[in-house]
Amino acid sequence: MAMLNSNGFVLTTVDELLSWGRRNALWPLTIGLACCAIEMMHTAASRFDLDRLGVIFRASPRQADLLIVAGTVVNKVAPMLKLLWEQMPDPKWCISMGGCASAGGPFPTYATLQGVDRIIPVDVYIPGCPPHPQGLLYGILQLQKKIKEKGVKKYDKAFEEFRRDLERQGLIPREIAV
Amino acid sequence: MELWLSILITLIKILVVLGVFLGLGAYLTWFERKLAGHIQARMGPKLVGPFGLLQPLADGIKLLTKESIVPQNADKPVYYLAVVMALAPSLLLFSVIPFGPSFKLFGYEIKPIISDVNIALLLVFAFGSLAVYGTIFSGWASNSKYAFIGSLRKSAVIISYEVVLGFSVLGVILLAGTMSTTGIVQAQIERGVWFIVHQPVAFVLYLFCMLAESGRVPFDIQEAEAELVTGYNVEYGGMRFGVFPLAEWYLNVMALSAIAVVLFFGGWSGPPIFGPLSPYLWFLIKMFALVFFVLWLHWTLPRFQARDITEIGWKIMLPISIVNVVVTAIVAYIM
Amino acid sequence: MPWMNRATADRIKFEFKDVEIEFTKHTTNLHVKQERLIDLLKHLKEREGYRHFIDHTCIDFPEKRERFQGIYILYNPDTNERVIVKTWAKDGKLPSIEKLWPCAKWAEREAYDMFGVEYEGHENLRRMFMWEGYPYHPLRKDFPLEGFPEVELPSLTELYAGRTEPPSHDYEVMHTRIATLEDLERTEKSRLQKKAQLVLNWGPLHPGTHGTIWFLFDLDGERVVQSDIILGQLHRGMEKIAENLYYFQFLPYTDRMDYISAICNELSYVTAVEKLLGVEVPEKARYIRTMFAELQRINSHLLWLGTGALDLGALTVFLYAFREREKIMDIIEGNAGFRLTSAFLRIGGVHYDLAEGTLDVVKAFIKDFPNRLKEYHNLLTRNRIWLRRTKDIGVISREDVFNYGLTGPVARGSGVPYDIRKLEPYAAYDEVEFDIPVGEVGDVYDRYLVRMEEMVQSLRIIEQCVAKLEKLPKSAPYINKEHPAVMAPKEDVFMALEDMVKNFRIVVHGESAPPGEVYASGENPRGELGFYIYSKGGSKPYRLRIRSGAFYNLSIFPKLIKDGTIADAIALLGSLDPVVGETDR
Repeated sequence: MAMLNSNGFVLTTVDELLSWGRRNALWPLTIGLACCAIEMMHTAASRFDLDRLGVIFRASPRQADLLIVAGTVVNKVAPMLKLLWEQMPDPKWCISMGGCASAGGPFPTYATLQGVDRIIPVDVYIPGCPPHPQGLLYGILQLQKKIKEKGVKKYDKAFEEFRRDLERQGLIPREIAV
Repeated sequence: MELWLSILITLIKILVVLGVFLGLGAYLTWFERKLAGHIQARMGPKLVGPFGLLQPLADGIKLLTKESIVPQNADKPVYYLAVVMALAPSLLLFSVIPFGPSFKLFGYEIKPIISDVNIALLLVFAFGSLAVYGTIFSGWASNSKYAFIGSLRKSAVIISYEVVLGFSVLGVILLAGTMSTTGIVQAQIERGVWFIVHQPVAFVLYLFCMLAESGRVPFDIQEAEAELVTGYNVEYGGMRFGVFPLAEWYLNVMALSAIAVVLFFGGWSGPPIFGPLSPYLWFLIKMFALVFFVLWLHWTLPRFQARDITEIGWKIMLPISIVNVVVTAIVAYIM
Repeated sequence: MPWMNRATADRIKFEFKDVEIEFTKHTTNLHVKQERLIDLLKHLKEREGYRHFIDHTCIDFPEKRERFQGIYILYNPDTNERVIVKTWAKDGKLPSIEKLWPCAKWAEREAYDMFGVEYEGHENLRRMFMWEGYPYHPLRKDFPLEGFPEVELPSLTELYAGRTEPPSHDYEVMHTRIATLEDLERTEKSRLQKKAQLVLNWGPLHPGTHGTIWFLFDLDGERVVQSDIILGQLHRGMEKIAENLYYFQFLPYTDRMDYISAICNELSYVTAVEKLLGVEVPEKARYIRTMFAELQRINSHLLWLGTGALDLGALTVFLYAFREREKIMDIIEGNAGFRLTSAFLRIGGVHYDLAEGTLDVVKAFIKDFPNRLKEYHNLLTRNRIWLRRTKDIGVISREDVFNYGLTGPVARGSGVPYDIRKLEPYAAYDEVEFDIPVGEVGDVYDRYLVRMEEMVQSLRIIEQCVAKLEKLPKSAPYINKEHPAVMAPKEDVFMALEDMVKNFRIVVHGESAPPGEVYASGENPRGELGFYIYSKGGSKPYRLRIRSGAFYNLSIFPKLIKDGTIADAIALLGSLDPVVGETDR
C-alpha cells in the first residue's frame, strides 16, 4: 500500500505518529546542577505541574529522552555530564536552562564551562538567571514544536558524521576563523 | 471434537484476559498519575488527549521506538531473559483467577477462569517466587552496582515474605477445605460470609506481603530512587524498561488484588444489581478498590529500609501468621 | 559577638611570650610563629575554652618573603568570644591541625588546593575542589580570574547549524582546561583505597545527592565500611570573583551560593560589609530585612523538608512543601522582582520599599501556615516508618559539634544552642522575641524536629516584624543614603543631581573601604555563613573568605555513616542538608 501511494502519505502519517508519541512523552533526566534545579523542581511541582504535558522525571539516563542542563556546568563535572548524555538512547534532546548553562552566565572564571553547547549539542536555550518555571514550560513547548516541525533526527550521530566530514576536508579551522 | 472445542475456548479466554489486563495495566499508569496528581494538589496528565487519556499511548509509542542499548559488559542472554522473567509470572497469575460463576453458552458449560486446577493457590505461590528471578536476572546481567544492590534487596524481601504469604493464606485454605480458587469462592458463597470476617489477621498479613511482592511503597527498596537511581532496572531503556513497572507495579498488583478478592472478599459474589454482568463487575470493583488502596499508600508513606523490612517479616509477621494458622486449625477442628 | 577580652589576652601573653596581640577595630588577632602554632591552638582549645572551630584559610601576599599567611578563627562557647590566630607559612608549609579539630582537614585541603600551601602531618592532602592533575592554584594573586585558555572548544551548536548573521552567540573558541574522565578516575582513586567488597560511586550526578556532591562508599554488603566525599562539582570561584569586584557588585553572587536561602546570604554579606564601611541601617530597613530573612528561612526549611521526605520515599510531602514555597516566593517576587536569586538587599538598606499590600499577604500567610505545618506533622512526625528511618541514625555528640565546627540546626539538634541571631544580633534580631529550639539526642529525628520548630519561631519573628512595620510611617527611609558609600534609591537618582553623581561615582569607582579586617556572620538555615573580609583600602576586598556552614556540616558525614547502610546515608544527608552552591562556592 505504502509503495502505491506516490505522495508518501502513509510514511508521513507514521512519522507524524512517531513524533506525536515522542513529543508528548518527553522524560527528562533527574539532574540538578545549581540554582536552576530549584526552579526545575518548582516546574514539576504543584503549581506548574509538568506532568500535565506528560513530562515525568526519570532518574536513569537509559530511560530519559531529554537532558535539562539546569545550572552551572563547571569544568570538573563536564565529562560526567557528557557521559550521561552519551548514555541516553536516541532520539534525545537537550535543553540548556539558564544563563550559566547557555553561556557561562555570571561566572567567567577559571572553573566554569562557558556554555554547555561546547560539549553537548543543545536544542533549546532558555535565558534567565534562573528562568521562571514559566520559562522552562515555554522551553519545553518550543522543543515540542521543534520536534513536530523537524521530525526526529539522530542528533548525535548525524553531528558526529558532519564533524568528521568537516575534519576530513580541513574545514574546521576556517569555519571558526570566519 | 470436545478436545478441540475446549482448546479453542481456552485460547479465547487467554486472549480476552491478556487483552483486558494488559490494556488495564497500561491505563493504570494513567490512573496512577492522575490519582497521584490529585493527591498532591496537581492535575496529572491533562493535555495529551481528553483528560490526558492518550498519555499511555504516547508513552508506549515513544518507549517502543527508542534506540536499543545493551550495556557493554552485560550478560546478554540473561539481560534479555530478565524482561521475560519479569513479565511472564505476573501474567500467569491471571490464569487461576475466577472472574465469575460458570455459565452455559450454546449448551456448553464455560467457566470464566483459564484453568480451574485444584492446586491453584500453590501455583500462585510458585509464580510469586518466580517473579523474583526477573529482578535478580536484571540486576545481575546489567553489570551495574546500583542494579545489583537493588536486586539483592528485592530477593531478600521476597524470600522473607513468601513464607508469611504462605502461612497467611493457609488459614483460608483450612476454612474452605480446598486449594482451588473457584472452590474457595464457592465456599464463601455457600456460607454466606466473606472470609475476611473469619480471617482479618490473615488479610492484613496478606496485604503486607502483596505490597512487598509487588515492590510498592513502603517496600519499594529495590528501586529507591534517591538511593539507587532506579535500582534493578537502571540499565534498561525503551520498552524493555517499560515492561518492568508494567509487570511489577501494575499487573502484579492487579493479580494479587484479584487473589485477595478471591480469598477474603467472596470473589464475584454480590447483589445482582448490574444484570447479567453483575458478578464480573463486582469482581472488578472489589479488585480495583484494593488496587486503589495500594496506590493510595504508595503516594502517602515513606519507605522502609531493607534491614527493617526483613526484620519485620521474620520477627513479627511470621510468628503472627503461624499463631493465626494454629488458632484457625483448632477452631475449625472443634466447630 | 565580642572578641577576646584583654584579661584572656594577658594570660596568653604570659604563657606565650612571643605571641603578638593586636586589637583592631573589629577583631582580636594573635600573631604567632609557625613553630608555636600548634602549642598556642592547643592551649586555646584546652585551657581557654576556644573549643569551637569556625574557619581556617590563607591570604596570599606575593610581595612578602613568606608569602602565605594562615588564618584560624576560633570561638569560645562559654564566654561567647571569638579570636583570630595568624601565622606565616614557612617555605610554603604549615602544620596540620587535624588532630585538634578533625574538620580542619577539609579547610586545609581547600587551602592547599587554592594556594598550594602544604600541610605537614595531613592524612591525605589532596585537592578539595579541583581535580587531581590540575596544575594551578587559583586563589594566588598571580592567577587571573579567567584562568588560562588552553584548549580549543568550539560551540557544537554553531558547528552543527553553521554561523548565522547575527551570530547566535559571541564567544571565545579557546577555553580553560576541562577535566577528563581519567582525571576524575585518578581523583577518585586518590581519595579512597578499597578495603571491602565494592566501591559505590554515589554521584556526582545522582538524584539523591542534593546537587552534585560525589560520595564514595566502600561497601560490605550494604554496610558502609568507609566513605569519602569529593566536592568541587559546583566550584565556580566565588572568592576569586569577590576579589575582582567592588563590594556592591558581589552582592548578587551571594544569592547564587546558597541559592535556597538567597536573602539570608545577602543579609550576612551586607552585615559584614556595613561593619567594614561603618554604615548605619535605618530601622525600617532592618525590620524589612529581618522579615524577609525569616520568610526565606521558612522557604529553605520547606525545601529541606520536601527533599528530605522525597529521599525517604514520601513523595507527597515534597509536593505539599512546594505548594507553600510558591506562596513565599510570590511574596519575595512581589517585592524584589525575582523569585529565587532576589538581590533584594543593598549595602545600607534594601532596594525597594515594601510593595503595596505586602504586609496583608504576609499576614494571610502567617494565618494559614500553622495549619500546613500541622499537615506535615500528621504525615511524618508520628509515622512509624519515618521514626524507624530517622531515630538513632547519625547521632552527633556535643563534643563533635565543636570539633567539627558544626553550626545551625545541625549543632542545635545536638543540644548546642549556637545561634548567631542571639549571640551576635544583626538586623533587628535583638528587638524581636524568639526561642532557640534544641534537640537532646542529636540524631536525624532531632534535627528534623528542630527545623520544624524553627519554622514556628520564624513565624513568630515575622509576626512581630509585621506589627512593627505597620506602625512605621510610609515615609520612613528604607536605605541610609546619607552615607557616602551607599547608593541612593532609583527614584532619587532620577530626581536629584547629587544622588545621581554619587551613584555614578560608586558604580565607576566603587565604595572606598578603610584598610582593616572584619569577620561577620549570619545565621543561615544551613548554619553560620561568615564573611571574613581583609581590606587593604580601596574599593575591592584584598581577600574575601566565605565561611560556609554547609561545608563544615558535611565534613562530619564520613564519620557518622561508618557502619551504617546506604539507606541511612540518604536520611543522614537529608538531615545535614548541604547545598552544593555553598559548600563548593
